[in-house]
Amino acid sequence: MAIESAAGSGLIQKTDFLFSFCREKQPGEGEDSIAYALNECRAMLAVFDGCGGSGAGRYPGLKGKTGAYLAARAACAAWMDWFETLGPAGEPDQELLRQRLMDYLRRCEENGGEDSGSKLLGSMSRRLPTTAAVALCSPGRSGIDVTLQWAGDSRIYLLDGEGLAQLTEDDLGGLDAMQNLSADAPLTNAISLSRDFSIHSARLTMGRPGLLFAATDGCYGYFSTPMEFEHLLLSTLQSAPNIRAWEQSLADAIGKAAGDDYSISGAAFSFGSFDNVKRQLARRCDVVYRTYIYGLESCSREEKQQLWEHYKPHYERLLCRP
Amino acid sequence: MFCKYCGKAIDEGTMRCRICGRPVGPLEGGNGFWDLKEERKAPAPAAAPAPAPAAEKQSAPAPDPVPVPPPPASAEAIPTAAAASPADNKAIRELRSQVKKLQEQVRELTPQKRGALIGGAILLALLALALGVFVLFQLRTLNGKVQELELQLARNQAAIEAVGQASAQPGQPAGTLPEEQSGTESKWQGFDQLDGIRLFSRQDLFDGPNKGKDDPRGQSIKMGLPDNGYEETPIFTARYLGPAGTYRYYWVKVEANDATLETYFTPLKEEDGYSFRVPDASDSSKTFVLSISGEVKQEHLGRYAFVAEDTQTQSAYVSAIVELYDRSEQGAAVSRAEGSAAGDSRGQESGAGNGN
Repeated sequence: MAIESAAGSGLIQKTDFLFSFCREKQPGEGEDSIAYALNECRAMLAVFDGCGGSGAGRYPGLKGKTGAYLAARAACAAWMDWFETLGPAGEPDQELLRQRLMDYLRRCEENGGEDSGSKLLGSMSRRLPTTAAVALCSPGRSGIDVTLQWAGDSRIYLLDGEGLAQLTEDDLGGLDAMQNLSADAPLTNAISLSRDFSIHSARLTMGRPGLLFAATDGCYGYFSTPMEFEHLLLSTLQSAPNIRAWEQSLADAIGKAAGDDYSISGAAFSFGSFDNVKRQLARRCDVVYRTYIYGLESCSREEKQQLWEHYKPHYERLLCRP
Repeated sequence: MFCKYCGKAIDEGTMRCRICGRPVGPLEGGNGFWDLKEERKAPAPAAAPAPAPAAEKQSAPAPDPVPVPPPPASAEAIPTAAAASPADNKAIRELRSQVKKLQEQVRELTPQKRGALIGGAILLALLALALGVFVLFQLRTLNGKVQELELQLARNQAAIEAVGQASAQPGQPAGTLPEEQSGTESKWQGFDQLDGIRLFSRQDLFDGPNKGKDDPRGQSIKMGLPDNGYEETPIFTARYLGPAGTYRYYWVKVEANDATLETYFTPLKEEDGYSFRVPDASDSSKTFVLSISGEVKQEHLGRYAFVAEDTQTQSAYVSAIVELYDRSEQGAAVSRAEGSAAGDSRGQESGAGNGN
């Protein structure tokens, strides 16, 4: 009874706005997929990034689309399908999710025809590979309860008055966010048909107003430091007259740096208005600029590393490891 | 939820923002492989899923569903009476006859009649618009009068408070005000004591959220008024000697003859408009020009304040007061400047042709 009461307190009322974009680096070649859904009891914010390297094989039965393209969209549909089965309260059924996911992937393969051949062979090759980063939100007793589900290097972030926090650790063998920017490490875990995979799960509670969003690696992976991604989020926010303008200017700004498809699916919770979002994050924007961004261009690699070491504990304050 | 465009709250379940009219984003969307999902749910299990339609590849969320309007009523749309009761039949017949009448009326409408109808409708709309404008104008005038009366009331209250304060704190120097005075007007009491010049509170000067700050700064004033007074353009300049910061400045007429506040003396010669930045206190000798373009008229006479507003704190500093008055007995207009800062004794006066 108590759970029902908590769940019925209205997530829509606590949600200020949704924001999302899914941009292709090469028109017609995009392999990202996004999903968002919000109702009175739950919200889902999700991104999926089809792995172009290992999933480059094309499926003639599905209009010659790549395995990466199909996998990202199949996973997206599976999650949406699964989300619709969730009741107002209770634990999400992870096993059902896995079944749906495998079902979609198998049907893709069954109807896609013969994989026309990935350039990668051996242990690197995967059938229908994709990453996933999904945040499930529901109203809780002391804020908004968030269940994180992820596989691969798509991430879920929280941006609040304390700054940007990466919530999910990449499946890259323990590399931190800074190392990930320079090392081209292979994924140690991703959703696919050919290998066993894990969908990591973790939980946290948002006790204060914040922006929660899932992002593919195209968003964060083309800066020289993780701090620049936070500053980009904040500075575009501060200069945006409205939510829509922020959404577009953020996507445009990321696009200037990105060398890959880039997608975000997110929501703002408990701020009360867009002006409040800007107001509550204005100080953080100033701090990030003065502390990390000002003069960053002229910093050496070692100096950037020092800045990162200073920034890292705060950035990883909520990091959930598998 | 809030509108992505205007930021106003959106009523649940609405398709468009009631404030700005823009479409409300859907609460669900994405670009998953929906057609595969459809195939999976279809009864024929062997059917292959159709490839992703082009729309799936679009990055933008799906557009809002457009509500389909009901089909227009017509005689053909009325159901047949085959299975209806006698009462229903009668109703249907009546409806049919009404529809026929309407159709005949429409057919009878000549182009002239239609034109007249359309013209009448346009005329009515124009009349309604004119009425609306008239009402708005009246409301605005009324509002101005109310503000004028409020201003007068505020002045009277301030004068009463000034007298009371002066008697309560005889040692209080002009231009420095006690911190704990209550009320907006009392914040400006120090200026009231200055040569009889009254300043309105900042709340009156600018309708901002913060009240004025009783922290006038040192200043010096140069003024120039040509010999022929009214016929050419008088120019006043003020030099700001306050602390470093970024300020917005105004020349404000503080006591116009018609008791209204006007800001038609705007700074015209600053490249960056109204704002200026004082990087440090030692480099604050920026001059600001108040110029009166064109012929000086009676309505221009009065006192003007140079107000620098700190853009961070929105505190306003009044740093100069100049006056343009009619020296009719001497045959020319005269400008006069008065130092308004605490203890500043550089108030100057100049006669015609005496630029300082």
